[in-house]
Amino acid sequence: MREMSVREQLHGFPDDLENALGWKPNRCECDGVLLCGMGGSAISGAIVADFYSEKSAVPLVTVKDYSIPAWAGEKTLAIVSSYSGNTLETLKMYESAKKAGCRIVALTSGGKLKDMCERDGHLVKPLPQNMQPRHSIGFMIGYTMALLDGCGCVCVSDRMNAVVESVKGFRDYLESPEGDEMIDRMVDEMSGCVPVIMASGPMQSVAFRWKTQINENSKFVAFCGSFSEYNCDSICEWAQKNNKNMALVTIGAFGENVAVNAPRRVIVNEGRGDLVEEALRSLMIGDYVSMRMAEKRGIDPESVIPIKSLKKKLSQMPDFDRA
Amino acid sequence: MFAVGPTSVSAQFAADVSYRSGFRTMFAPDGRIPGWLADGTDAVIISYSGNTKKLLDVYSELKEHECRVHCITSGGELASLCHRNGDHLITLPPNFTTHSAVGIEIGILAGLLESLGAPYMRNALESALPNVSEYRRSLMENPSLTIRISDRLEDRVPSIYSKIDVVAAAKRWKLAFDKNVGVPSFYGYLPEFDHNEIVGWADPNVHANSMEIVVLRIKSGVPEFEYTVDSMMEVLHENDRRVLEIDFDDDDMTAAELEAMVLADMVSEELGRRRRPNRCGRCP
Repeated sequence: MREMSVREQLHGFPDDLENALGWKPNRCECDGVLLCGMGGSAISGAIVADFYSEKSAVPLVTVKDYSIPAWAGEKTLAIVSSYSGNTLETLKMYESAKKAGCRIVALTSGGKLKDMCERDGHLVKPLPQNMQPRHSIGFMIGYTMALLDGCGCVCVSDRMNAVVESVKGFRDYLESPEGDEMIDRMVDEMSGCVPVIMASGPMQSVAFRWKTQINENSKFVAFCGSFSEYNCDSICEWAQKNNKNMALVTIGAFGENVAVNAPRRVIVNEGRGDLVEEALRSLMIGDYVSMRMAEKRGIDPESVIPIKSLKKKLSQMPDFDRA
Repeated sequence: MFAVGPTSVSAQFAADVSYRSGFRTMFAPDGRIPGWLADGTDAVIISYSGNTKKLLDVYSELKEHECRVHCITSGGELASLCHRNGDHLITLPPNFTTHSAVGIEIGILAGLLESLGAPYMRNALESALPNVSEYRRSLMENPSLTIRISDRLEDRVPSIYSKIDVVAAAKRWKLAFDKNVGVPSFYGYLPEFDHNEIVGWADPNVHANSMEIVVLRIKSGVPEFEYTVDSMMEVLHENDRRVLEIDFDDDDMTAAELEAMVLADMVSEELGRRRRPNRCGRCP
């Protein structure tokens, strides 16, 4: 089966999400959910936690480390996501969750994670083959939400299902000449600059997605943060006086009031519509912007040579468990 | 725990220690109220001034949830609300800044958590503090490390990274640069860096040439992590990206996290003096 182009994978995002939301896993009880994963496989957990932490009856905690928090135990549900199934940190988190006696569900297309789960009798929800991990996000968000519905900590799928059609319409807009023009304008505004993406509240994971997509697709240094952390004054100061080589990108409410005189500023949305819909739209804009930045630089968005170099070095890692 | 801005370093530090210790202590860095809060949940608000609007909103919401509210503040509207409603108020001394009050906030937070049945932070601090005091003394007696790092970071925009379970240290560096140096700075965490950011940093894009990666190497006790960071450094160097690596030799992670914060203050004060020689700064 041929690997889909990045464009095709971006196009498929709302369809993947809709399909995945149709999954109905068995019910289970838990007193907390760990959303374990790294990189492209972690963003779905961050988005789900951002959207629903304020409604969930149990804590939703994202984990990006070699182990899970020491307080996790038998009543904790660990959703372990690794597209390849071979991410070192994620495999260690799996082992850590297993040791703590957590209930475990893996989202993966295969690899060691699938083998370990099957060996240990934990549920594996398979992801489709031949995708870039970071573009399997539609499936990962949908499956994670279905699991949260199933464990009764929050009913989230209905809200997401309600906006999927609109998101598909927005996808079609992004791929129209008008949408293309909007994406072009944003990319031009950031041209030659380091994008600094700011968001508030649940939009922070969307800002993080923007940053990582620009890092990986466009091969650009980029940063993200929250308005509360990077207080408005400091943003204004640097944007106006110090750093004409940075472009401020704002997502969500408060954005319009921040750094109004910044030399380079892109407003993605102003947080006036349905939160979930706005977040998904903003996420898609970021994906398309990062693609266009790569195209304008004449580089291949799929290629991630430094990560491959790193993985090659890591393949020489001694087995510390046996040492 | 709820805190924003420079004060959030104390809550993040407590969350870091709890992550490693087995007590479930959550930090909401942007003031969002989790849905799972219930009647009787202990909620801690830390605001040095007591007038941070976001945290006053948090206070109102916590009262609606009928949480047991504990406030750590020097006064302001938050203290008035606590007095009026009979909440637990711990008063911070006056004449600090939000930045310089972080040390005392960490100590008070440790005592509060102990009184709530979670002594982990006090225990960790009691073991760590002699080393931290010695580290500070050595930096003050011999400023060569501070000078060397300051020389390297002068006129640069730093992006500071630490392992995710000591991320309060990286955050303190970012906030210390904001306050004392007056240049933008950023922070992030490892090993997530290796899964996306490294691609941007490894590209020769010239607009990022004024930036400097700073890696705070606090011993993690996880050999796979240490090996991964060494490999990450090699990839960055192979791609001609400047990286400033700062080693902390302390085997105690809590001590090393605090030592990294002390160094952040020393370096940012030094750089602040260089940028604004007439500025009156506080001794870190």
